[in-house]
Amino acid sequence: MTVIPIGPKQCEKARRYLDSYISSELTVETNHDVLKHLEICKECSQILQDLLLIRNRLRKAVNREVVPAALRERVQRSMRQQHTGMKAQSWSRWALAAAAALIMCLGGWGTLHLWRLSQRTRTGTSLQADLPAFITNQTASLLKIGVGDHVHCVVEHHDDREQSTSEQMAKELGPDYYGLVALVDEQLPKNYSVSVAHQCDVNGRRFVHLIFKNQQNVLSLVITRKGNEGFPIADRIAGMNPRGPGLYQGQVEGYDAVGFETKAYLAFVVSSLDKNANFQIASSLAPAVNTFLTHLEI
Amino acid sequence: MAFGNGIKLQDFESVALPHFDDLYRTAARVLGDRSEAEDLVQEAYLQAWKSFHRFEAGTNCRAWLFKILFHVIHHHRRKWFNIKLIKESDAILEEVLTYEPPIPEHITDEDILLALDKVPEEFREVLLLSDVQEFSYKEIADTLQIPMGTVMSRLSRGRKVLRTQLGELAPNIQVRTAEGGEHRL
Repeated sequence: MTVIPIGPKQCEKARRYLDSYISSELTVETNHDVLKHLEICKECSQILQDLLLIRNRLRKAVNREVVPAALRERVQRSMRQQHTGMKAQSWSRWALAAAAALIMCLGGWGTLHLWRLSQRTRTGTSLQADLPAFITNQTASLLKIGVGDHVHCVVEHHDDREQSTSEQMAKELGPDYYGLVALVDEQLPKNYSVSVAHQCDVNGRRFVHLIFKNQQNVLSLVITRKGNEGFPIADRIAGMNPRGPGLYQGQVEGYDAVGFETKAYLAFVVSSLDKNANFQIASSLAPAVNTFLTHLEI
Repeated sequence: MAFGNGIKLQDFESVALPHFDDLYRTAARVLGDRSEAEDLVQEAYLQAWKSFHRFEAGTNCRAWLFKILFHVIHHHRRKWFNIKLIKESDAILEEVLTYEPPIPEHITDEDILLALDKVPEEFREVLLLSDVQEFSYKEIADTLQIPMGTVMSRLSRGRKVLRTQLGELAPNIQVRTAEGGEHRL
């Protein structure tokens, strides 16, 4: 402990600390030193008293100022008006978005309806499934892997090519996965086609990524090697083709994702379509992609 | 958007309105004009409400509101008064830095407020935030977007100018000197 003794230099030192002392901003040690000096120095103690007197009088004088009651009401009223404006703005945005979505859904429904008819003709079965209202966190976190790659390449436009050539796809996918392009093209609704196919790295994970689109929508087929992960059986969608893989569906970060797994891979179909439309496309791709990936594992 | 996040105006009002009087009183003293203070406090509350979705629950709402208030005040001031303020504070500092005036014994609230009005604005802001609103140096530095060292020096100078102004405002009242004696100026 260093006590600041009496004397012109010591008083000068103590007075330098007085502002911080009355603001309670000194360290415990310095505070103690100042206090000890004040106990034995009448002059410095008087200066402190003056500082405290002015501070207390200032606080009292400022806080005596009467706040106009009408001002508080005026401020609350203007906040309510702004709130109402935000609501109206928000509702009008929602209304516009809903109208746009309705138009797109009607268009999409027409397309899908025609495609479903062609599927029925092709497989002789109708695709019916009970899509879940809720999924576990485990499924959500797995679906997020696929959504993350879709967002990285499609939404954030890290690969914004309109159309890759077959040579580019072959080169960027590599010989093991190039066969997926023709396979996926074959299973897609007629107005969709694979536009880009590549391998990419997102968040330290390697993906095989096929982007396919029609005039309005862009979808991704995202495939990655499995770690220790696996979909929980409880979230498996019931009523699916028993010869195909189990499917898992959910909304993640505003995107619809359908996932499935093989022994060594996780695969996802991700899009901004509504869940039924995305599911229809995913369920038509899954059996063929599942077979393809299973062959790679042999 | 705040509304999109489901934030209710009632939630905002319940955490922000208890500090209304403090904000108004501070604005009125900083600006020296009640009508201007009313407009800027209203503007500060509207801005706070618009950005309330960015406010982290559990953090210091009072400090957050003061930061917005001073942002609004400085934005308003920059438009009109910046050059004048710097000149004014430099001139007053020259006068008071070497002068240790005695403190009037009987000072009224009006005396104090008159003296405060004569303290340059950048010192007055720190004085009000520290000595009236009891913010820490760190909170003041964050509110005014200035370094802690600047807060300390402005506070020290602000207190000194206030003391000088008090002495000059009350030339005929009884004063007490730092040595403890009493005399008339």
